[in-house]
Amino acid sequence: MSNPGRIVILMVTMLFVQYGLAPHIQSGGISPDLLLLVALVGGMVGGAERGAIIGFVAGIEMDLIVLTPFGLWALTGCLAGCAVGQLHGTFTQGGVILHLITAVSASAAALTLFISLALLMGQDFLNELPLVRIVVTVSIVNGLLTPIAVRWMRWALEGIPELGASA
Amino acid sequence: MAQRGRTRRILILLVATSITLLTLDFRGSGSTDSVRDGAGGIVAPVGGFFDWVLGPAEATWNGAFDYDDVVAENEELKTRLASIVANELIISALERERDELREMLGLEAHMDLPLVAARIVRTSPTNFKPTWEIDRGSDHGVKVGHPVIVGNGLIGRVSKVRASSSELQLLVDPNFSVGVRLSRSGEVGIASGNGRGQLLEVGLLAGDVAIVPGETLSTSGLEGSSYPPDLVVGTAVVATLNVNEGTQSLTMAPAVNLDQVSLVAVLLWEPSVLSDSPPEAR
Repeated sequence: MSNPGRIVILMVTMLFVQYGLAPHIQSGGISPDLLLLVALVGGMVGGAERGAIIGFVAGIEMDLIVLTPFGLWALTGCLAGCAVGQLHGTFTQGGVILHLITAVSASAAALTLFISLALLMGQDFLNELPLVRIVVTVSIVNGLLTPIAVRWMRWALEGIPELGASA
Repeated sequence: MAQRGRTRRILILLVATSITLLTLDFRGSGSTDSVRDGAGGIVAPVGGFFDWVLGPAEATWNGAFDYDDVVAENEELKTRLASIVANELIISALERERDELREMLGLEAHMDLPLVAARIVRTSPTNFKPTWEIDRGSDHGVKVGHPVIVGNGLIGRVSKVRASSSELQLLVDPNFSVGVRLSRSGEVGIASGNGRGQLLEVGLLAGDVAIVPGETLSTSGLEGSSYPPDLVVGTAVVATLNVNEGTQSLTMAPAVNLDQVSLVAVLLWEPSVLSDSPPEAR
């Protein structure tokens, strides 16, 4: 199957999984933000350019199923995917631990950016949510899921160097 | 170098697109709502499928690992059921009396409204969606604005409708407001939400009205109101006098504990007369 076909399958599957499965696998009432993980892993595996595009598409998908301003997740996703993608050269020399640490810290940064922008845009309902707990939980869960997500993203973006291979 | 320049151009393009989408959404063009509705129609059946597949497993898991909670909840429900049965006897006697009085005074009955029972199927697919979804939609006669109740207590309104599901705006939502009437004095004010877990706030009450803590507040049902009269909204907690304006504000506890709601009823009720004030506030 061609790469565009694989990446479409991945993106559509993740939308359905986020909408249908994520609410059932909550931890302490907090569900994973799998589409954010897709954005970050897109950057890790594909580099800044692909990371920005994958992050944007994942963000649009998230915008479709939430009621926050439309485009806010797309903005967060493309910035997060691109930022993580800037470290792409480092990932080709690093290991799983590096991916995991990056996913945790980038998830926290992306969620903080999203929450800050949303609050600036008057989304006051966010103040009622346990924001710190959401950021911490989602970041940890994203970190734990990173090895699987990286493998899947590598399949979707075939041709990218293997994890740990020299640049 | 050329690669970096290309990446920068793509990033600028994507950011600009995102900002354009945000601007369109803020300007209320309606196009983003249509896209969301369309997407909702596609993903909703998938969500239903996951609920159907995982629901029994989830119930088994909860039964196995939260057994003590289930037993405690069962005991509490038994106690509440006994209390409800006792109340039903009192209520049926009061209803008979009410009907007789209504007949004597020639008043029209307004509580025999058609309704649709619905189950709350999802609370949120992400951590950032403050609405509930129910398993009834336009196919069942549900429309945007229909009041949603539990028992005789108002919990919100329908904010979005699809063919077989709808989204609710809860009365604790900061953007929600409803006209209310105090049970003792008949004084009318406007109640608005303050967020989940917070008390509601009632404003525009006359300064000289005596308000008793625990007093019931119901929908005012004034002409053109978005809600029928006499739906219980909450009970008075603390009244504060605003000396400068000669008015009182009141904090109010919602009548229904939203943490314990799994079934709701949508009243197929629409206001008969419209006035100039915003619909939420009536």
